[in-house]
Amino acid sequence: MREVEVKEEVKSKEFKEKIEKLAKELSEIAKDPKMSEEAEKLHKKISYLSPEDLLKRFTI
Amino acid sequence: MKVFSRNQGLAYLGSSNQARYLSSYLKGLNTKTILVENNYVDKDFLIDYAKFYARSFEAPQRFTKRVHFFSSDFTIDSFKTAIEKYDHSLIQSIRKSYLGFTIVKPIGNQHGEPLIGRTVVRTYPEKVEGDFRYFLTHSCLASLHGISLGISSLPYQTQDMAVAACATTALWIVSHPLSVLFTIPTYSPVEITEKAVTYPGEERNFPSSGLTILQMIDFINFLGLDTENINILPKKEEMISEVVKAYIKAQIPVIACLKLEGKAEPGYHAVVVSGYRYDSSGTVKELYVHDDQIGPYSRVKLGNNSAEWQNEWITHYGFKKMAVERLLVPVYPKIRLTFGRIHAAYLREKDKIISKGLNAELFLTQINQYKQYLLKYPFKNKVEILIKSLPRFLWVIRGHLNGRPILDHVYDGTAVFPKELFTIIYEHP
Repeated sequence: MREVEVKEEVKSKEFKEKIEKLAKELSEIAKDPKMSEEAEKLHKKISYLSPEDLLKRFTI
Repeated sequence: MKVFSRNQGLAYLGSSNQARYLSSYLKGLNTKTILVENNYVDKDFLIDYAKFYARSFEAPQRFTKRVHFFSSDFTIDSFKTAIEKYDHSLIQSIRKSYLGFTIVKPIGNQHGEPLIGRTVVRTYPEKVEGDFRYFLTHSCLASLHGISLGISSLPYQTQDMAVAACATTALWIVSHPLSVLFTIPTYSPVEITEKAVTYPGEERNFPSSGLTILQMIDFINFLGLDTENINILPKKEEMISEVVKAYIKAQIPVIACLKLEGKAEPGYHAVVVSGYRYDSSGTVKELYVHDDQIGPYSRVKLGNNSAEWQNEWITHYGFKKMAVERLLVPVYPKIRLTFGRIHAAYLREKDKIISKGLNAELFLTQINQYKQYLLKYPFKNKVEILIKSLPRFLWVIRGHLNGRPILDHVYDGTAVFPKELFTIIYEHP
């Protein structure tokens, strides 16, 4: 990702506190057992190959 | 060897759809001079020749032509003088103006037009109208009569219907960056088809009638790699951009499996995503694909539904609809945390990140690449993290402001289930 601008607000105390809080919230998501369940569901859903899919021939 | 001005030299490519596309692309790169090497031995074609064409009753010749493109003006006499007298300034000028090369095979398509073989050309410029472009590239070298030439690109070639349809060609293209990244060998189109069809299909192996998904996965397994199969779910089409960004950032290619409709029976086509254009918030606005029926870095416009692509298949080839059904990503087996599992975490974290006024992105990276990046920035516990022993592969969920990193939430890419390692909060002195 190319940086195009550094905003002054990122240097403020309020911004730093907001990001500290965000870091804690993200860490809570990582530890949430519900997230693990969602991860399993999504993993299975998006990696599913039906018998019909298996026979599709890429010919063009 | 012959040297031509642009228009004369481009005639060597013939008039196939891909040759016309390539000619237009090369004009856009400001090609001025074209140098043709006759009787060039191209490894890929030589293997295909030995395994397939040599046993034809009317066998073609085994030599190809290699056509080089330059943005500077020079003549055959000045080129000969440069190599005879080792004219450093002219050799440097030739090197700097190098735009790449293409192999013209001594075989034709169904219309008798020469087939375009291995092609390595410069990418579009990185900056465009306030946006940026990112391409999947690696260093591609060529030796021209003693002069070493090189550019960063992703090799391309058109399909040779006798030995390789789109799926084989897509596998050939992806094998090049994978070879650089994971130190695996590359194979010619015939060899790829041969390996892939060890998993039987319904049709003839040769002449090639395409590969099934299982045959494609079987070839990737043969390379010692594993495959991420990612279905594009309805109303989740934005996942295409997220997959492309996540893997291409790690220099891992993505194969798009497409369904084409609007002409008789629907057909299936495979292409390789070779880059993307993004704005300052990180939103993908355009994709670039290596399409064996169009050319390298073919632009794909994303509509409201980013699974429905617009490019030459719709504008020139008469199809009504081209939709992405799934993405196949060849990955190193140690990247055990699947896209599906990390994406579930990303979706939840993305909402939180956006709610704080930041942009969010997800990407895979290797530890050496990531530590080199971190080295440039100040953040808390920097030394501790840089000297820490960490897994080879990491998934990173980043919050950023116009590309300026604000926070990274780092997961172990070698774990089976999402396992956070640490969070980096960047400092902005």
